[in-house]
Amino acid sequence: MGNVRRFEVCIFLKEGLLDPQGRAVRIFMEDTPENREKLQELSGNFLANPVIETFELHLREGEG
Amino acid sequence: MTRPVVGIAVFPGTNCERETARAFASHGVSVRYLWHEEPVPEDVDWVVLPGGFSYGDYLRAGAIARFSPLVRSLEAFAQDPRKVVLGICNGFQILTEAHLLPGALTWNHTGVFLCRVVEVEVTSHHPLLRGLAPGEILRLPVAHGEGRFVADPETIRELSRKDTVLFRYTEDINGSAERIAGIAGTEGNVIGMMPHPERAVHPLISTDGARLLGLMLQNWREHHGARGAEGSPQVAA
Repeated sequence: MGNVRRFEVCIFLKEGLLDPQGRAVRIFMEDTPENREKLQELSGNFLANPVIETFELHLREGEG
Repeated sequence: MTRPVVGIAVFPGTNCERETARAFASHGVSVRYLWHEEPVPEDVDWVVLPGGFSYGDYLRAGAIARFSPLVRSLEAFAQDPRKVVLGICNGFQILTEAHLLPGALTWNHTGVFLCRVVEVEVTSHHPLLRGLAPGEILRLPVAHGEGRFVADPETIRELSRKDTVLFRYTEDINGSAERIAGIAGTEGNVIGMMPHPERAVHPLISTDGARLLGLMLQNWREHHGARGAEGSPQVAA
């Protein structure tokens, strides 16, 4: 677990729905291609509701 | 003949299971509580997901409950057209999160929790609503923060085209698309509604909820030639 980094999933309601601020979920995980794929899947199908929400995935550089 | 069996789901945070059980039991069905960690038993005819909360609802209302063994088993349960799934308030939210109903429920456009008695209009010829004419008004309580029904325009059009918008608010109380308060799935046997019929069973508030649930059960019995209602109401604790 030597490469744990902080990722931030920023979730926004789709256009036309009220939510100017959105919300963010912080995830600490080992930075591997497999984990990034899992986080993408988790973000799109669970952390964000694909019916009404979109998300952006950010790696917070320098913050482990 | 045995009585129809209505299962009332209980999640961590559910807080309407008792009044829901009483409301159903008053119509002569057998009522049983269903724990969220177990799949639906085979002998259950209706599953009701009552109001309240589930697993804290911290992410979104119903987002975690969809992964429970009980909710996971509802997809197969609902394949049988004789079975009925009814989600009330948090139950409706769970059903959309589980994709057993289209659309989603998000924060009221006012941004605040809404708790009051409202008027809803019956807007469908759904077979379980026989006895209620489209246009008829029901007075039912609502109590929700995330009650605004949203869906893409095509989904909204499909709901109307298929006559599966069961209820609409008579005024815009929460920003719901086209004032939608309750819908049914494509097959008709999965139903979600934000108002609480189980809280409208006394003249002090309204008896429209008792009438609604009574008609739904009566229509279901007639439609499926189902089991009678003789004997006293019962609730299995």
